[in-house]
Amino acid sequence: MDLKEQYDKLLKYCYMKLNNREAAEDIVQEAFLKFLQSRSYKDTGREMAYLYTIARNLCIDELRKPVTESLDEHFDLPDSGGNNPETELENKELRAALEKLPEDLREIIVLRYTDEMSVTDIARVTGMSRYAVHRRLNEGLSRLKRMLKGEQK
Amino acid sequence: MTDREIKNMLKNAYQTAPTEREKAFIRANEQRSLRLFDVLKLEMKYMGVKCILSGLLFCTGLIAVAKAGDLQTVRYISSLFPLMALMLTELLGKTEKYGMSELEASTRFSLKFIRLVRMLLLGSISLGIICAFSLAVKNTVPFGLITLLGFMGVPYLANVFGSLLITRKWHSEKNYIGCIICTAVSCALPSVLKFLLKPENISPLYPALVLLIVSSAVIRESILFIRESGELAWN
Repeated sequence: MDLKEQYDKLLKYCYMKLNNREAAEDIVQEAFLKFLQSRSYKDTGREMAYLYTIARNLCIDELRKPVTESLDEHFDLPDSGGNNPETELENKELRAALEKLPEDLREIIVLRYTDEMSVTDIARVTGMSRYAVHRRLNEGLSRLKRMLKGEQK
Repeated sequence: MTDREIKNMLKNAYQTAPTEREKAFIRANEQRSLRLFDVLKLEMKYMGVKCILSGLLFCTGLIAVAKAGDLQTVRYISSLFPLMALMLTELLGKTEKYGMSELEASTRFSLKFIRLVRMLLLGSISLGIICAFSLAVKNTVPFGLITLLGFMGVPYLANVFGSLLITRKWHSEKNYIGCIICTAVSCALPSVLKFLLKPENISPLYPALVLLIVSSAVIRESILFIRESGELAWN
């Protein structure tokens, strides 16, 4: 497993879930430590699904905690890894559109297209059937397209 | 805006630059996420292409000689295989020879892990050569493959066992001299056996049994070698 690559992907997922980079990074590191300590994923044969399930549960726990004011609400995202201003603007629009989507659709879209996870693994992480994942992906993508088209007009 | 464009944009939607904290975490946990196969790939680079190529050349040369020669040549060639075991022990001793223990221990891998991987790599290359050779000359000799493997593999494995035992017990000069003597004895083993046994007359059960016993001894010695010499001498 390429730790760096998976770390980046998981961070994007947790950041989407929590909308707070610092908290997302805490969750990612905790998830990785739990994942590396436990070897039970070997029995399941789906280590990515196992890792994401740990992170997802940790995010849910985090969201249940009493709400504290997030710094990310006041400040922009940290340096986005060398993107040019135009791309960064597009990303902001896209993130804003994603925020408007229902939680379950947003999660599936990010897992599929941002983290490039397989539909089978998404189904395992979210507890849905593969068919339901496919259906939600199509629905989410078309909603996102409509929103972005609306913004462009 | 097409679906493809949206999908491409989504790839970087939550992209952020790596923080110091992220880099430190990855550095600290990289080894734990590595699998044996990843380290094997890294060690292959450490060993170098020269070592692997010379092994293949050695094997090809032996096969060519054996194919052209008679049964006697094949018998004598088995005397050369223990030399590969000496090469293996020498490469394993590289860490100690060049005083690299401290440096290697400070890397992301433990010494035990490094030794295990090297032994796996070198052992599989050597055994691969012996098997390839045995298969290639199978039709040249008047006895079965198991007997042939026994006569080719036992001197090599005996030398691996002896050299590992010596390396585990002795260090520095004593170790080198011991390993050379052990190699010489192992090289002479096929010639001694030649006077005692005729491979074409014995049942394949005996070579298989001897091969099994020597292999078990090598596996046991390898485990002890990794377990004991993995720790630093000054600890």
